[in-house]
Amino acid sequence: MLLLVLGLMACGPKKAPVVDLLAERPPVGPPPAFQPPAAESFQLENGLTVWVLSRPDLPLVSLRLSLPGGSAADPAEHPGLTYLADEMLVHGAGDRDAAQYAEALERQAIDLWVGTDSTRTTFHLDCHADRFAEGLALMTDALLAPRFDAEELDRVRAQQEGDILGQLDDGRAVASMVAWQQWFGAGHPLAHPTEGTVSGIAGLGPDALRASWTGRAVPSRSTLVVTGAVDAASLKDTLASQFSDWVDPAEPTPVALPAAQRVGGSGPAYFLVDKPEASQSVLRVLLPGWTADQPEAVPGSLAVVVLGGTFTSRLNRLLREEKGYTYGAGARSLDAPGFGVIVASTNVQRDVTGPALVDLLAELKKLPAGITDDELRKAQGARRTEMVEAMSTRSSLADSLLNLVERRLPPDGLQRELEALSAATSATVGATLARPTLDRAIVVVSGDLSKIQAPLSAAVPGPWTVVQPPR
Amino acid sequence: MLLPLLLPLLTLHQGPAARAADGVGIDIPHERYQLENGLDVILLHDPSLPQVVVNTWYGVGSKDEVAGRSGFAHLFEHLMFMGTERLPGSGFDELMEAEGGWNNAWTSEDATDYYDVGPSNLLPTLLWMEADRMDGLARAMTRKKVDLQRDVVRNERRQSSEDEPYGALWLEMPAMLYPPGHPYAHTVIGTHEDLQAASVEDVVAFFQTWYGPNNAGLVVAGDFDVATTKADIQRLFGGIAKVPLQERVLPAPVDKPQKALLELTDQVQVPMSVMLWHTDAALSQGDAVMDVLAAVLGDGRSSRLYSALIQQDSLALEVDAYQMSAMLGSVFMISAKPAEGHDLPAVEAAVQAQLSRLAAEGPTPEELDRVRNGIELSFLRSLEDLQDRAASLNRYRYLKGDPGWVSQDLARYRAVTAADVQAAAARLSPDRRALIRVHAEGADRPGVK
Repeated sequence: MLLLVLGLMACGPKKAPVVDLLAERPPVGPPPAFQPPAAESFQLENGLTVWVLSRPDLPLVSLRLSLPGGSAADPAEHPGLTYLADEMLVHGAGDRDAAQYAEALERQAIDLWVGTDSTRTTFHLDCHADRFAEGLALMTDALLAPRFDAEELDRVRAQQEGDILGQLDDGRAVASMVAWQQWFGAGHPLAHPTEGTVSGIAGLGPDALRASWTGRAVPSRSTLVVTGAVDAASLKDTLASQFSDWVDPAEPTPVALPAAQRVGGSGPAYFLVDKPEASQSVLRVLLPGWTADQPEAVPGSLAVVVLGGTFTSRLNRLLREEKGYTYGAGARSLDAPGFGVIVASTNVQRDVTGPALVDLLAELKKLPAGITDDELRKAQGARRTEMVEAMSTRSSLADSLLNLVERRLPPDGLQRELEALSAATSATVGATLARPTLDRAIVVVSGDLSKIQAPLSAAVPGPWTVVQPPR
Repeated sequence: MLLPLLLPLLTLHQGPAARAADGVGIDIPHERYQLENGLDVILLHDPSLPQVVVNTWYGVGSKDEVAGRSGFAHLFEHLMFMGTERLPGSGFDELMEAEGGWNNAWTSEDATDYYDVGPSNLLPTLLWMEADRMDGLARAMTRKKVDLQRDVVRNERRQSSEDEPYGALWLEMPAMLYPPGHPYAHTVIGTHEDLQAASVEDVVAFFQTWYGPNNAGLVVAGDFDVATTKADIQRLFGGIAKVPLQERVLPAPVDKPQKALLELTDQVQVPMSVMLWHTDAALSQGDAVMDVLAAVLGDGRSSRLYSALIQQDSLALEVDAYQMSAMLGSVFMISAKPAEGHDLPAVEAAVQAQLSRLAAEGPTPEELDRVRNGIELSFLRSLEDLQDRAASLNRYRYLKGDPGWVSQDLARYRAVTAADVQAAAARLSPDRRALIRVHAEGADRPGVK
């Protein structure tokens, strides 16, 4: 015990009182003021929208170029084409073959890579400010003059094939692939894994990749975000010069998506995937969420934080800290234009697969009843702290702004979002919770079916359908 | 308005002439002092964002576990969140998260690090909570808490190692590399058997031996009032008693593995070879040389191994190299997955051939420039994030006795020469190597061997 024994005045042999210096918890003062920055915005003559946020205190620059399209643009018979084409953009461009292009980047410590998700392709450029001009030039080469050399394409395809097969090794990846496939439905542009399938990318040649890229490199619907040691005025001139040859193609690839909300309503749909010898089972539940343009998206997201966004969230507290079933359980809210999904997930000890799923579904069933004021305050604090942390590095700041772009929010969207989070009440959050209903849920369990299928079916009758992951 | 950090002028290399211009160091401005009970306190004042980080680093890791109690240091890390008499149950996390904070921790062979992040108004509470558990965790320990976290840790082992593709090799690696009884000869996560044997008495003894102010560094970073915080630290931590610690007997250096070859089978689609060698201890000059060597060999598509095995010969799908640094000696690792139609011995031979070539010829000036530029940039980037800076201060304090060692750290990389790298490559010979082959049980790809 931490004690402070007080000395006695000379009055006789009385016992000294003991003071625990740690007995009193300090009060928490008012939260500090915080205003997220807003980016400056302008448009180039070719229609490219540019957002700039200057942070000159360190000589670092981060750039993100976001182009709508993504793996949703894959032809039905070639899932993975977009991913392959995008990866090839930085495997040789302009006068440089793949080796020369890599050497040009890496010699100057320029980090340039291309990311593909289901609805977008994004260039990521991070470098020292002194190397930004070179980095931008190399990125422009990739954007406007990718080579798609056949020999390099064979190598990159082999690596993508390895990645596709590698995902089959991972129970979490398998559960995810199956969940999305079932959520969107076979044949939907968003149903297949971004990397595609081995058969989907087999035989694809340079011409197919070039055609795919050309149709998606559309400046008038793209956005460039830059943070760091730059200023808007000089950057505008630089970009205008750099991208003077970048114009909309004659036939841009359409990017409109068909409806992406799961149809149904007669109860959850249950799916099993075999993962022999797995010592844990992966549980994944998808529920309807809110699209990015819906006003419910922000308050609704707070409920998802309460459900599974922090260590003391409902799911983690129950499944990990009370029951010891798992190393961690969580939930997140994905909101994009056109679709919104809540994903709850955990990996649990194999022999408690049934009880864990029962508990998980019970928590999801309680969600529509709403959240308490204390829970709301915790979720608001968590989101606010997350926003502050994202301001720490140029790279995370660029990613935060990119997230606004993807959700079609304006350059001052961070401040608007903070205001919306702060304005939420437990009542307004509660009003959003009619949407995430188990009636339209997808439930996927990946694990060793020889051990878990029978007890799981007894605990959660289903009916269960055994499926294979796409490959 | 952001305050300028003390950095600057890291020069990117363009060739031998530019290297002569080096000499400017970097720094993480801080203040350091020590309480009478031995607690090392480091303050990093940065009001640029309304946030604080409290990083508490204890000088105990899995290397301090006794036989039959592997995984204990990490299990104890979990137990640090299970409540005290003053803040019982899940109060630690509940209180922190109620005010917008969050926390996490990690355990390695060498140390255990706890970090709390939150808005700047939360700092007094964070300090109080860290002092509270440093003082009194053991008094509130129960069998129920130990049982619960034991189950959580066993699930962590299943998730991060047993079910993780290629995870099994990490469970086998320590015993393959180190002699029995060596502090590194077992895994940080521990075995199921040892975890099940842990008792409340073990936990209390562990706490009373290692968890005290004289075995800890406390870093406070971010937006706070320095004078007030110093007073709080003195009041909250100043009366916590020292712990007796335990004398550590340093093991003899290990130069060769215990076992040269291990063949495993895993539920994976593609086989993999992992090659391992013993190397110099963390933050030594030799450790920096190995980092540079790893980057020459495997960092990026213009690296030696990528160029040769993937670009030129299409022999491999993936190849990586890295230096895993540790206090009592580090391990250098090269991993490679064969491309379709090729096998593990072929990629192993190709890797060894590249090492021999590097040992004979050394790296080119262009290769060294590439690697140096990358290292300089990574040091620059490490100055952005508050959590990274706080952790760096504690790490340097622990390993070097000086939280401000970052400038010397960069200097050791700048001092690496081509001859150093060449000599280091020569030591990566087959007779000093441990080789783990992971065969693909789940392969359904034709031609996979």
